[in-house]
Amino acid sequence: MLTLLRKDSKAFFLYLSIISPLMLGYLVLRKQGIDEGFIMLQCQWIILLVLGGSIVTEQREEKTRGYEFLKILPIDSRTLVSAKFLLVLIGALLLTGFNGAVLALSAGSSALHSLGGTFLILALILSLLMAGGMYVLRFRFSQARATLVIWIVFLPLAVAPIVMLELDSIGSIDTTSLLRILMEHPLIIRGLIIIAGSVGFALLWKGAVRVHSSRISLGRKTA
Amino acid sequence: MKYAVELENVNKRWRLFRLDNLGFRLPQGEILGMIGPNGAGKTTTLRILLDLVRLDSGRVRIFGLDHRRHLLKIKRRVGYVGENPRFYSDKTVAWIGDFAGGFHTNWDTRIFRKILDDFSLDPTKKVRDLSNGMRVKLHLALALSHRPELLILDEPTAGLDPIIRRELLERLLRENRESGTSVLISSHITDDITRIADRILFLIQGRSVIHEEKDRLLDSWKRLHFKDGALGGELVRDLLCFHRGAFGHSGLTPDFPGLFPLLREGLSRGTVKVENITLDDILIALVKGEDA
Repeated sequence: MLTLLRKDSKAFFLYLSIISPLMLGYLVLRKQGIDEGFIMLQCQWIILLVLGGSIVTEQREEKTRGYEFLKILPIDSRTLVSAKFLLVLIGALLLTGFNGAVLALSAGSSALHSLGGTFLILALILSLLMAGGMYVLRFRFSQARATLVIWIVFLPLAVAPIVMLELDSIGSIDTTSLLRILMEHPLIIRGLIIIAGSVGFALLWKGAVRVHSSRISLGRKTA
Repeated sequence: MKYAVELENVNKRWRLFRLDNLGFRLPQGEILGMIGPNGAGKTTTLRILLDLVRLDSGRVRIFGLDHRRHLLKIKRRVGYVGENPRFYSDKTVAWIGDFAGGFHTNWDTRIFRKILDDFSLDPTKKVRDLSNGMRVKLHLALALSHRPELLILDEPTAGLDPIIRRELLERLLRENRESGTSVLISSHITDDITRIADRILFLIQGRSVIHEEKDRLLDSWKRLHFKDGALGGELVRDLLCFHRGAFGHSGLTPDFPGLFPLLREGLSRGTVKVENITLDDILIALVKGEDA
């Protein structure tokens, strides 16, 4: 497991370390502190980076024909998939921690900080579920098809909060009541998100193990 | 007798090809050469052993263990060299060795380094910069560095120059003689198989046609050259690859010892002559039969 983690972690964290400082730079330039828009941006960055990191790692695995080599080594599907999921989990936690620290150090009302915390947890869970889903799709189909599907799913999610905020600003929808619910019961909401997300991530892990084992059985059509 | 590999009634069906009730055994410490034309099922058979291709029915046992239930244990005891070996192309030879070693409990870095040295493989070179022959050597180094009890080699010498081929074969023979490693090797180059194998398996259209000790096989299969009337009509009809010529005829027999009493007279008169044949000749005879 450690050998596999070591192999993938370089590309994954290199990707994160190149992109993450941009986020910090944006905050420094902004200076005016946090608002809903900034929190949404943080969430999108978490999802984008975790998902992007896992896609980059997998594309690299595909490009270098890694799976063909891994198949002949004494590694079972459970260990292989666990290493992939663990890397995503570590990366997502680090990114959320980083963004949490940025949030905590920024000026803003306590209600906004509380809302930001809840949204960061939501982004953490969403990024894990999407990356987990990407692995299931990747083991079931090809990397190209998995990436395509996951971006199609991701793009509406990435754009949705901005659209909501825009519609709110022109008065078409009222996001205030939704945000108020999240601000009034942060612990319950966060607990529910974490439980549901963990169950979902565990189910995706299990599914990915199953799909990966059966993928090996498909083999190549060769005589 | 203990067997390194046992296959019983193995079936695998693709759209245009199938393995048909394939069965054979490889005794521990022996070298089995698998020969067959393109599409005969050699690669599929070898990949089935490591569950890289899943069989439809039948039973495969490696070291007496069910090949799927004990796959990890088996992979730790087996070295595999496939067709067109693939590695992480952007990594160095040394990195590949360290990485593979991380999964084998009995990996010996000294053996790996020694084999690289023997094969003149530069550990600092990136995989993408290696020639095909060098990649095969690297694959063989990886396959040997955890002291496998069984080597499964799928066309390892294909596309290699004679010098590298000879080096590889000598290495295999040394492993077999010094460590008692069983070897299952498939190759189009029957010279290679003749050089190293103890047993031969002919695989044609997914079926095991002949599975025999090499020496006994080459003792049984002979080419007969004879003049008109030197052999009985029934005997001639049974010959494979029969060739009628102006000055004499020829054909292959798979049962020279059985025919010997009938040939004795012709042999003593000089109207029948016997010629040793190669595994290539046998393969052609098996594929083309009387039409060759």
